[in-house]
Amino acid sequence: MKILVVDDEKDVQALFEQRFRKEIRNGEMEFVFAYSGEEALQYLHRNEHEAVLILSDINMPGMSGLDLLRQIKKEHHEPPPVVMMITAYGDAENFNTAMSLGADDFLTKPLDFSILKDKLKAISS
Amino acid sequence: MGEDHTEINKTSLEKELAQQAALIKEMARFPEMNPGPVLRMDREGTILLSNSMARSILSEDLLNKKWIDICPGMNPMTWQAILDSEKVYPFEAYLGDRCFVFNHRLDPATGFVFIYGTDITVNKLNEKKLEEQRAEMKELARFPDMNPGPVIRTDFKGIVILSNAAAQKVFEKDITHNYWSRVCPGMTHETWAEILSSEKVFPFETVIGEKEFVFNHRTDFHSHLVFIYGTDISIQKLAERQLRHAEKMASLGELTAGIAHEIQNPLNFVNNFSEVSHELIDELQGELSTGNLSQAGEIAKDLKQNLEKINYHGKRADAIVKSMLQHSRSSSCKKELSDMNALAEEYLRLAYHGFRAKDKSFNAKFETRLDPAIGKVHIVPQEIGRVILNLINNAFYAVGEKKKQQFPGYEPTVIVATERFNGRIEVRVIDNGNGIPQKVLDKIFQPFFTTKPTGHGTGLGLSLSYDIITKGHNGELKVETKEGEGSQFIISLPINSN
Repeated sequence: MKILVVDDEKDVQALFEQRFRKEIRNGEMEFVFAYSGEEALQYLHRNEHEAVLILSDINMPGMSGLDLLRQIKKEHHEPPPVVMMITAYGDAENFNTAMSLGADDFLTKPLDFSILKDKLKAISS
Repeated sequence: MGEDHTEINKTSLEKELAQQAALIKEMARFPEMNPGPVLRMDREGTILLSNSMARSILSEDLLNKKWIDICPGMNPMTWQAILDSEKVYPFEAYLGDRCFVFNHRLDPATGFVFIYGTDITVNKLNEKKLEEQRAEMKELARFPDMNPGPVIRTDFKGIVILSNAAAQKVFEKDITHNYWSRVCPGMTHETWAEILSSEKVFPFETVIGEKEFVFNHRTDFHSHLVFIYGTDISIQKLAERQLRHAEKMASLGELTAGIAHEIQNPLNFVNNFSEVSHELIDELQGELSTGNLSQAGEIAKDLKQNLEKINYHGKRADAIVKSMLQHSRSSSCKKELSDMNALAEEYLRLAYHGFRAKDKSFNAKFETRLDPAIGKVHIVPQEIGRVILNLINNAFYAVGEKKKQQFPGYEPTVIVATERFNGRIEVRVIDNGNGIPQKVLDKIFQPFFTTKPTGHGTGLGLSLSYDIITKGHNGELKVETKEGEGSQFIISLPINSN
């Protein structure tokens, strides 16, 4: 399962690669990283249907995670990729906006990786 | 000696009379050419001739009327004095709200009286003001001890020749016969020279003991004296400082949300990387027990990298807390060699996250264009940081306001650029908001001026920024703006600003 992680903090890459060391090694999961909403869209245009799951931060300079979500849900219909939003601001307004735009899940920072791992495994199986 | 003097007066008077007579003769030929009222009458004061100006200010119907009835304030005694006078006889009269002087001259050859009027309303007003000022000065000069503040008088050399009781109290001694520049703290020869050449009142602020005074210097070029009036402004200055502190605190409040976010992010990394390292150690022990040394080596490498990351993010949080503390400190700090690019980058992030935290729907592109050759600059980093923060906050506010108008295709953008050239460094904060209307452009650096709704701005941000840049750092704060297209604020600092 290919997972696209979108976050302007570059260190999330090291974090994910270590947290999912086993899953990456045995080929269960593959991670690709984008550091802005714009970069994520470019990747999705180039590699259509490749990423089945997108994990995106909301609070990023330039295109926000919510803008990205809106674009993805508008452009990519079949099959719709699963989009999970991650944010430091776990307020109702962000949550409602994400949900109304069609987000599949909503997680708050700091991430609980064991919960995230369970969720990802549930989707992949 | 006395006789000689009269002699000179007489000849110059005769000369003047001759000149006036010639002029009047010339004018009499062309009464319409005269910009003021012109009249001619016989010895009885019966008007025989008038120009149109005279008719428009006095009466349309002047012919054969008596001057005594027409000219306000004119009476038979004055008329007789005019007839008896060998010189031009001036008579002032008010017509409505204007004041005229009518110069009367009897021509002995023809027996006609010629009258030439001039509007002297403006002169009268100035005279009145001058008289009031003179009276005030005279009053103060006569009773300097009545003045609650220090009153001092010096000659042009700056030697005190008079000081009142309040001045003695302020300086704790009689300062008469001392040089004012030695008595007044901070007064230099340059300032004194400026005072002597100033035609206006010259204020000079100084600190004496625990109190702050402003001394207003008025240079009198007739008496060659300098009149100095002091006022205790300690209370105003205290209020001003409190206000500055309040503004600082208000901007800190705006920052808090941004700071919280900025600290939360590195703290998350510290927690995440230490947790994952904990797991990695278990894995490392597993690999070692099975003798898989190459895997163990890989894990050890990751562990080292994680510790570096923990350290990096810990320092990041530390730097943010430190800069927040510096920002709130009220005492002025010392200049030090500082990295302007780092400062600009840090405050851009803080301001952006501050805005995002306050308004979830807010979003803008922001970028930096930093000149790597800028080097370190001698500045007070907290103060310059506050200025940059203030300018960036304004820029984000401006693009946010324009975004609300929902122009199609509008992309709110804020750019911070630094550049070094010609021995100066420039920091530019550029936005593509609505720009600043020409009619308020002059006021933006004035204290308490704000275009934000009540409660959203103190109106002190730009005013304080201006002071920090110009007074504190000997630099310039300029603005370039185009209505509807955006603004650009430019901080320009000399590289060796001491």
